[in-house]
Amino acid sequence: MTTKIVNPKTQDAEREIDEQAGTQKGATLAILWPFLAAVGLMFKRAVSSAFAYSSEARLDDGTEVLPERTLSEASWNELATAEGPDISRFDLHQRIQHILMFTSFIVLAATGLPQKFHTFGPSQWFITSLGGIEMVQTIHHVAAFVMLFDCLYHGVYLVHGILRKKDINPLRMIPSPKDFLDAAQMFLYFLGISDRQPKFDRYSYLEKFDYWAVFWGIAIIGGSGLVMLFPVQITKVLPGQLVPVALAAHSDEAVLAVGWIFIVHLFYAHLAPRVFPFNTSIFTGKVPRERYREEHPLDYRRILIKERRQQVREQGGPRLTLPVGGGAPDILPNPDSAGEESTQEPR
Amino acid sequence: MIDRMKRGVLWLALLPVFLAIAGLLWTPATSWSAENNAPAGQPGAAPPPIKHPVADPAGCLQCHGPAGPKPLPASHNGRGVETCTMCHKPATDAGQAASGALEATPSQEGEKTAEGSAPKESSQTSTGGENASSNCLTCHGQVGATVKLESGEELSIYVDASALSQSVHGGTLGCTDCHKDKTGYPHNKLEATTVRAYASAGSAICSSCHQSEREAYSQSVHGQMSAAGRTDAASCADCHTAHAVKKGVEISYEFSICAKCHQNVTDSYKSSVHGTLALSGNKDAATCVDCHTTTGTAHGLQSGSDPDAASAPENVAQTCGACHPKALETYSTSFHGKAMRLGVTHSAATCVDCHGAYGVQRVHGPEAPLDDAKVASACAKCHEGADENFAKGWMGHEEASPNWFPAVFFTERFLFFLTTAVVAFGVVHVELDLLRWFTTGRKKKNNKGVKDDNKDS
Repeated sequence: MTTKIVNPKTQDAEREIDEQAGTQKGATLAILWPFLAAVGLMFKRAVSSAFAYSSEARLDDGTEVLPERTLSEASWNELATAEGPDISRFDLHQRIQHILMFTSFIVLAATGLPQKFHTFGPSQWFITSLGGIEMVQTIHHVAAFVMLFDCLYHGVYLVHGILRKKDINPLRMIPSPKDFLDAAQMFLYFLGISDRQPKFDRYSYLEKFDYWAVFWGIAIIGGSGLVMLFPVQITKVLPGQLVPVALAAHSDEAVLAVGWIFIVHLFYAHLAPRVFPFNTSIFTGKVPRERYREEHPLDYRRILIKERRQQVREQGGPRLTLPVGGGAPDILPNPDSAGEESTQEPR
Repeated sequence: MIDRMKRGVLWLALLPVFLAIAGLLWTPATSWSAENNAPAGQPGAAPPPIKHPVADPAGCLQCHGPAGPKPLPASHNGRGVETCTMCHKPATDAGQAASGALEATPSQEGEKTAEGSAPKESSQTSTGGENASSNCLTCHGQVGATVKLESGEELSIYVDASALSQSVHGGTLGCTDCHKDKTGYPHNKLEATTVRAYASAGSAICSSCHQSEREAYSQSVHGQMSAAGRTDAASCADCHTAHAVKKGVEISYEFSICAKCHQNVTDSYKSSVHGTLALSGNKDAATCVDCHTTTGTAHGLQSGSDPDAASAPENVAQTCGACHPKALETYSTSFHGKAMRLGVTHSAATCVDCHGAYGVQRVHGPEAPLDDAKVASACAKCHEGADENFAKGWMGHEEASPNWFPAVFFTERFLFFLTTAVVAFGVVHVELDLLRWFTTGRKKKNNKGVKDDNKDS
């Protein structure tokens, strides 16, 4: 596939070189172009295969289901409004990780901001009432190591989840072009230009931003914090200018993190009208079905397919076979034919 | 509306008139105080004579007390009523009264006593003093005259009369105004047994007039040592000298005075940036007093171990910053400055930890490039194992700029814009979301909007 593309392009480029009599720029382009094209294509394939939920919607017998294209909205809505238990969104590890994260974050912010804004009266009161700056720094360092441990924990959890348990949900956190379209659509909706809200997959663009902000934030804040904690040892290896850079970056990035978390994250997690006054999901792991359907309709479809598959496997039932590109399919379970189908179930 | 505007214009027009009237009322008051206070405040100027008959010198404060119609200037606070006539002579002739006491002849005195209605007591005191001055010099004018004290030490009793008359007391104080017990000869036996004890006891003489200075001095490290019985503590005459008395402003930059006792530190001071400047005659250069008092006068000299002292770790930056404001500014935003401000007083670095205290040196500057090895040795005092690479991270007292620590500068810039952009995006997102919810969101819920929403797509 790639070679087919490369060859004509290279020939084109060679012709160009002849015309321009060996211009350096042309030559560079000619050499780079096929690679860029190949890389672009590979990236496109990788992205589309990683993010197309169709791969998840492949049934046990190998029949591919493309719900977005094959199901009429009417059937989806009928299916979607069905009653059912709460959706499990966060497993125990994720819940523990979040608890560690927000407790250490709050402690770090409470002990860090008074150090940044040290001339502010209440900062000094806070520091003296905690027992002096050295105590505050000790608390800050302890909380920092709790947060770093949490990061390690999360890293191990991710690797184990993806490689061993073959759980690809974490990969859905990777940003995709759809996020930018979703954001644009969201603003059109906010401004009243469109009445259609974007349909989110497992993670909305804001949730992805939350996650990656923490990711890059910890890289910057944690890294610079370690530089400040061990300046002499670090500068044995790295340039000395890193120390003032770390000093500048640490608190500036921290202000960004605190601003984002306390304005945006807290609003969408607890204060938004949909969830006000308190959203228990991150503690219980459960999201009410109704709300999940509203917030993550695309992931909800995937969950429905999974549930359906599970149901078929456990009790037997009609196979969820969908004629691709066909008319209105019937995917609703048919309890009468359950016994017959179960024998033919593969695996 | 128009009425209001008219009234406003009228007020504006009248404003200069009011100001002019206020100015007229104010001017006499200021000129009055200038007339009465300025001569007393000027160094060396003769004190104003008493223009009215004095019935009882003990009654001066009835009119000139703090609550009286013509109160004393603030510089006289604390002086006893018995000291008034030492300087202010009850005389009809202002010129005569202002003339030097030492030069005053008995005949002039006689005139004064005859003409003026001055009370006997005061004229006797002053006459006694002046007569004594010339009498005293018959013995005390001998260069090298000494008396032997009990300890065997020799106390110089020589007085340079010209130095006394040129001193700040010249023309106002005679010998017995200070040496009150030496009115007759032979003198009473000296109580002091050593030269230092004599010098130390001399402070009591000065404080009969200079009470506020005495109070400030008693709080100082010298005064506290003196009160504890240490006769080697500096007393008034050690700095101002006993007879050639100089005003404090004239001697406060003379570190050679401090060097009489504090030789160990003034040697390193002389080679410091401050010391070399001071030696070259620059009176702006910081000398001992500039760093060792918070009050600005040598009477409040503090020990460095005093936590309130200007040279205590907590206050060093402020003390140096009085002349080096830019360094203070960058220090107080630096890690060291913050730590100090937040109470890590025992270990956070201050100015003197890097630059030195008495032998203060410029670590680097426009004419001397940063010497990493020198900086590293300063860093290593606290940061054990700090090497030159570590010292390269020291920004000195400069703000980051594209030319100075560009990495820091662009990190700060980048994070500033990133923070602003991200938080602004978040705030706008939340606000627009709420706005949309308030306008249409609630309606939708009533119509089972969820379903409609899906049908749209």
